[in-house]
Amino acid sequence: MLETYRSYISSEPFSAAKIYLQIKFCPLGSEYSRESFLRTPVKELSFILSSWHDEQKQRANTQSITTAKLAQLVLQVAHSMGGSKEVVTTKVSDFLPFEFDKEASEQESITKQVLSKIIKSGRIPAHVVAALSPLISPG
Amino acid sequence: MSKYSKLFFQEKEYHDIGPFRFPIYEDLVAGEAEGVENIARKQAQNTYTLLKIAKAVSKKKKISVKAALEILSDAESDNEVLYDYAEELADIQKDSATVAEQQIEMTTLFLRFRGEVKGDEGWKTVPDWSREDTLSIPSKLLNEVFEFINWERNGWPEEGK
Repeated sequence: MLETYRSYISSEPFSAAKIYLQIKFCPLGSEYSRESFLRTPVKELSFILSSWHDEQKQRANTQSITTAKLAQLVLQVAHSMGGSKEVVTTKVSDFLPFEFDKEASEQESITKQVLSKIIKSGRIPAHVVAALSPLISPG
Repeated sequence: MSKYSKLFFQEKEYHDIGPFRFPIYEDLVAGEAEGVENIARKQAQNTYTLLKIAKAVSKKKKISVKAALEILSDAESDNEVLYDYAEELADIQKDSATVAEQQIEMTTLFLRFRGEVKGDEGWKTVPDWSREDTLSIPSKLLNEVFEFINWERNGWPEEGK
């Protein structure tokens, strides 16, 4: 119990000023008065801030796609020039500053695994395999 | 505005405690959260100090922490433990707020950051509400506001709204 109290006391206190400053940097935040901010529920503030952070991450990723594609190309060229016969398994999203929709990429990777297994087992006609090829080839 | 707009933009629900009304959020607003946090921290600091003293007493007297706490809270008995820690206990007493004081502080926060009163031009907020203003309201009203605060912080009863 003593430890619980000690950790609570030493934790960072809720600072309205700090959160208000972050809100001010959001789009339209400059029009948000301090009075309105102090009357806004904490859940709403937390939703606004997390949406804004997600938006910032997505923007940074979008702006880095060209660089990421170039990095992927350089890696593939270096790999082939080094004489490696193994396939480059990295994806363009690996070179982005933030993780690219983690949930979606997990689902995508599971789908790829299932498709690869079905193809290896030879239960899919050749023309279907050819059509699926761009989806299951790494990179 | 479309008749289905409410599906996207819900209108505020209010809880009436005449002559005031309070929007229901089932949450604290930023201004209240900071004030409530300050009160809770002060209380936690005092409890922590008291527990530390109780632990020291239990070690010294070879008794349980619970028994030590009972000795420390029995201010009327003439035991030497109270004298040994008189200074620390006096500090705790000085800093700790009674339940009534906490009720006044919290009610002031809720009225200042959420409360509305009906004026000539409809409902208006009272951002300049002070502790002195709270002290002037009847205790029955104070209890009703405090009950509302607890519902907003800890969840509403089934038929409360």
